[in-house]
Amino acid sequence: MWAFILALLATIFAAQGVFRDGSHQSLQSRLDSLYQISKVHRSFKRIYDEYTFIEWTNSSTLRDYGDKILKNFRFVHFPKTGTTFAATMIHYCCPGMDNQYAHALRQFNSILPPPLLMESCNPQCFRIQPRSRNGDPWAHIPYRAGLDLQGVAVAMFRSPAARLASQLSYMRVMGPKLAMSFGFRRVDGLILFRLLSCSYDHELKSLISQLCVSSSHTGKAAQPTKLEEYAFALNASHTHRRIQYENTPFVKRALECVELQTRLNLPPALLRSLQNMSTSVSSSTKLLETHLAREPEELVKLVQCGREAAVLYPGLQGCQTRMLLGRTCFDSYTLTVEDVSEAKRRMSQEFLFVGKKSVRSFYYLYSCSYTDAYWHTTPHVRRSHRAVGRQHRLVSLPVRR
Amino acid sequence: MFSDELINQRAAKESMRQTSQQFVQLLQSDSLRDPYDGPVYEHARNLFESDMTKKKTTFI
Repeated sequence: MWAFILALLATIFAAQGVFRDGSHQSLQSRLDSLYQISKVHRSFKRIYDEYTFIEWTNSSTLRDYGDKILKNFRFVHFPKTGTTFAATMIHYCCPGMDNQYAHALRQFNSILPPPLLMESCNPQCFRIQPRSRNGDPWAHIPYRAGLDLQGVAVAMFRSPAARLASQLSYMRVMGPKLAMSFGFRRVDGLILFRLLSCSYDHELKSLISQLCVSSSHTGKAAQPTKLEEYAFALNASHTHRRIQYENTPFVKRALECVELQTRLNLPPALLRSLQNMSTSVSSSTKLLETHLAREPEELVKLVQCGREAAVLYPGLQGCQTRMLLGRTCFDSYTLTVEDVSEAKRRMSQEFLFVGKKSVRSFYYLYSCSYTDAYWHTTPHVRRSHRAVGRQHRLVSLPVRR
Repeated sequence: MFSDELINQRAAKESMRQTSQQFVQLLQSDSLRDPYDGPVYEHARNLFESDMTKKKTTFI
């Protein structure tokens, strides 16, 4: 009997060793393949980050700076306001985690950290951070007044114009499928992508007419119910938008774009290169340059038309306010002055950290070692910063005891 | 969708920079100012600055 139990235990321990090794290899190969597949994607992402996140931080990688003050947190991630901040959160919860893994966790955010990686993390740290149904902890899940009222909500805010500009640029680069990840319906994503990529053809006209027909048959607008758990668990009242599109400045401008393209009658190759400009620059440049030399104004007008129409798209405004109120970024609910006041109240009374621009402020407030190691104006640090040519703002912050 | 032609990073960077700037210019016009997120962002900025000031004072 004892021999049998011992043999059984030995088998279990051996199996655990195999699984551990297996999971490590599987993770490594998974990361490798993801890196290979997305080689070009990352190259474009790097360019994008450089131009859109430059205001946030001068470095996308952070090191471990010692003991952390917060035991856990709830990061409210508004679209285009803090993917870099997610990296801060990972490093905050997982001191000493290799940058490559932390980067992968942020970039391919549906990957769940396997047990081996979680060993280097504080298990309590991610405990109250909600996940989307595909396991993404950095999804745009709105602030939920009841569930998130634990006094540890943190968020990064961004000026509305910069946020939306970033979102539209991102949608233009990444395509219509990704546009839907911001909470748009398929038709919204398709229309916006066509406008942003200069595809003002008859298909766009047909999509706009569908939009107008569906909005005129919605009947009396009923307010959608508030979200409880997940941002992506949309019910019919969320997916069925009740915005009136007819006779809006957006529809007028978008139809003008279709007319303009028809009137100009540009060669199909030129139109294709305009449409692909965001993804294959080198092929389109020569053709565009040739055409720009002959007819500069009409091309500029054509490109500008779609962008002007896109920013007029109904319902794009108020994303951060909606999410503070427990709704999705592109919710059909029409905001009121009272809603703005309630959003401000929640921010003042229920949020632990309200950030803007820089992750350094978060570290300054909640990780004393960061200020010591990074902000301290020692000659050594100053020299090293000067050596790499960075423009660091050196201030004399008091060291916490 | 993504091809090797993308390697022309300088052109891609310039295109991206111009696009973002144009969108920001468009969105900063009076008719397109966000009436909801605008005041909320102002409030966040005030909170952030007062919080930082408070913390600095506390630690001094």
